[in-house]
Amino acid sequence: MNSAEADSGPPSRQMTEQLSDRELADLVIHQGDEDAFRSLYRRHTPAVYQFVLRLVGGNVQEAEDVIQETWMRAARGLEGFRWKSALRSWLTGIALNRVRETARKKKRSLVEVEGEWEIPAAAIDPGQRIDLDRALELLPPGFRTVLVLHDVEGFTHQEIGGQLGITDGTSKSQLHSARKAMRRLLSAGLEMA
Amino acid sequence: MEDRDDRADTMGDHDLTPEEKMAFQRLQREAGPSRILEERVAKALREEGILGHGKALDSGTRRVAGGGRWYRPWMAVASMAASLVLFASGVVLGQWMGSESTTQAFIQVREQDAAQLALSIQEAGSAYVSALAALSELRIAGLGAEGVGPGASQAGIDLRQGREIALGALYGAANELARMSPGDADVLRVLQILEERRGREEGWGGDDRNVVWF
Repeated sequence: MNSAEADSGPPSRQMTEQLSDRELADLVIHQGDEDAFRSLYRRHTPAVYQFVLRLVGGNVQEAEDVIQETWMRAARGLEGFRWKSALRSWLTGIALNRVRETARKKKRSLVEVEGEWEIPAAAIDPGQRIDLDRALELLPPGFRTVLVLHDVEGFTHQEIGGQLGITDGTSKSQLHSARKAMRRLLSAGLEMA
Repeated sequence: MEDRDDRADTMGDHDLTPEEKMAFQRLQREAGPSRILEERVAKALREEGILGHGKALDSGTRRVAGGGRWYRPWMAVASMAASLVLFASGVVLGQWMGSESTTQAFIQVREQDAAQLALSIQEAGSAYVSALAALSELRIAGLGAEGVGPGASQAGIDLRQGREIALGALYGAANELARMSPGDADVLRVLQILEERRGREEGWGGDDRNVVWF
């Protein structure tokens, strides 16, 4: 354990902010220290939340539910975390699994896109170029997921395959289609003008 | 994760152009969920018993019962004394500052958005319950035996006034809740009970009652 566990009393909020992830996690596990948990939460939530928000197409309510469940699972499993990867990578993995579970419940595939995908014309302002984030939101989940994981987050096809339960080849082929769809979306407004 | 450039996954003309790569790199990497989410998560973890060992409210339960290493008996006495001093000075200060500070507080509250307000309610609610718990401990410890008149101790007078303020705040909160959800039968029942009590206690303390119901 560390100096934060000194006999003189619980660490202050300011003090916990200076501790490493592992020291904070120890305080949560052994002391149920809420300030330590909040420091971990504030340190990692913004990045994981942005990742989840993109995966769920900008649905704030769904993203917040995923984040809550991610932290619940992380806190329950913190004692078993072996620190062979960074805490944030672990949290990101939990969050991605939660997104998958939510999609499964809603019978929404994160990999396949059924039929020929068409640009949702109602979502495009004629004459206006849409930005990348908006384009990602408008893509179907089957395209968006692989694009976010590969091109935004930097996952390899092998990692994507492992996370989504698909082959490397399927991941590559899906990325190919997703980039094509994204380019159509990015120029859609101008073409419609 | 490997460097994207090291991957052998070229897709011919579907590779990202330098401009596209740049656009992806420029995407925002962090975003803030609503502040109330942190409270939701912390509350859920407290309810599961994962958090809470280090919080003041729990020091009277888990730490005392388990002989936690941070609990010291003198801390409880010191906390109670500090609570009393803070409480008494708060009441006096509040009366001195009067309507000006109240107006400023109202303006600040009205400038907040829904999430901030929800958080404010949670914080104010926690502070309210914590202060009441401290007051209750004082009473149990016999430090503030209630009384009226010249023989009553200052602590007793403060304790009684604290209880009166707490009831007033409870009534005010119930009133606002009823305004917010007029169809909520439970809220209306709570308000009705408090209103009946208010009616019964209009004469409470007579002239020495200096706290107004909210």
